[in-house]
Amino acid sequence: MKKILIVSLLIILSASACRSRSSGPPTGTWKYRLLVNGAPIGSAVSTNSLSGGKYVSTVEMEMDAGYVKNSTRQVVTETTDFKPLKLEVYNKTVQNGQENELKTIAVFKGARVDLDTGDAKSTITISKPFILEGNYFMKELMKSGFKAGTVVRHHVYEPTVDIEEPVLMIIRVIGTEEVTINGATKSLIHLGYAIENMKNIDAYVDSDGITHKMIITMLNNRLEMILK
Amino acid sequence: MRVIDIETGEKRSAAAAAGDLSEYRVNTRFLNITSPEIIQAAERLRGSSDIPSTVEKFVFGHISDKTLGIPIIPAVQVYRNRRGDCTEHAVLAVSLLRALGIPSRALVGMYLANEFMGRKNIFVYHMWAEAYQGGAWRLIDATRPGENRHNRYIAFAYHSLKAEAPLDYLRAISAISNFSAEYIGR
Repeated sequence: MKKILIVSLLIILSASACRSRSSGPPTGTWKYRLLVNGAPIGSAVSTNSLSGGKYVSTVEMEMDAGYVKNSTRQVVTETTDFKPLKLEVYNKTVQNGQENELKTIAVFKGARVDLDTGDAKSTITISKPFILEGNYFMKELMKSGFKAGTVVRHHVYEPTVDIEEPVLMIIRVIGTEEVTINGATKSLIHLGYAIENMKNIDAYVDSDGITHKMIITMLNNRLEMILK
Repeated sequence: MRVIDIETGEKRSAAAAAGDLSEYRVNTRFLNITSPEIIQAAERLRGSSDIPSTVEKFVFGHISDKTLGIPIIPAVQVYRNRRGDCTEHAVLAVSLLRALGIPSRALVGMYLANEFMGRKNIFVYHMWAEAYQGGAWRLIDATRPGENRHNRYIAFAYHSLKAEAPLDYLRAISAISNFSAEYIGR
């Protein structure tokens, strides 16, 4: 089950990194602790930058289950109006000194996607409008002022779920709640994330759009990501 | 909370809805059925009179390092590393079966294990395979060759092995929370 939790976390963490309420998507770096069923399992770092007229959002996760270590890195490159340019996903597993690596690199030219999955290269065409897991969602939520009931939805290209078709991602503003994190109680905005109407992810962000806590529940496993 | 009683027993006539089996023959980025190594390994098994059983036993023996926790990886890496848990066994089994032209698929769910990590009669999360042969889907579990007690398996979803977490698989496991299963015996 840890395998699917890693995938879900990667999807959501990319879409929710922000730093300040400004006219454009903010930039910065945020570090998180990862826990599975209450036990520390690793850490994550999320960054968002603006360089050469492009946004570059990076999420790096390290998970250590004792007998196996897993590292995942995802880089999203998009235009300032959220047109996809490039998506890179690298996954490395180390166990008893042996490494396994998996990569997916997608380069976008409009609807055309050139894929490199390491062992094979291919080209697909996506018929519906889509974005990457970059800055679009938080930008829209911030525009709404995180008003309770706000729903933002868009098709997102996510090769870990479907390498040929974008999936529908929906984020709802549930409301403001008191949440205890690292011993301190904060008033945070509760967001509900869903992939294709399967809602099982809750995030708590502040008014600047910074994610303080995220909880993913699948079967009997609970993955938490907590801002350091 | 919703309680569902499941009665299990012998499978009746194998009235499998064959339908279109083409999706169970396709190559995917995790199956590598056109890889020279997979093709070569499969060809060594082709002469068997019971190919699915032979594949099951081969995969069990070939993955000599039974270990937990590796994320889903392509079949050719499983073949080279000879290491893995139920996921790696299922991926390699499906890969070899499809390379041999036998429709096959992977399933995820739970298995009632006699013993697992010191606990007896326990349901554990599991991935296994099925091969379509003789008009029916046949259980192929390369982690325990010869297992024919279907009632020990509870399937949540099929896994297409086209991506790490395909939508059908995500839908199934997202619909289940706070799940518990108890074996109440015969």
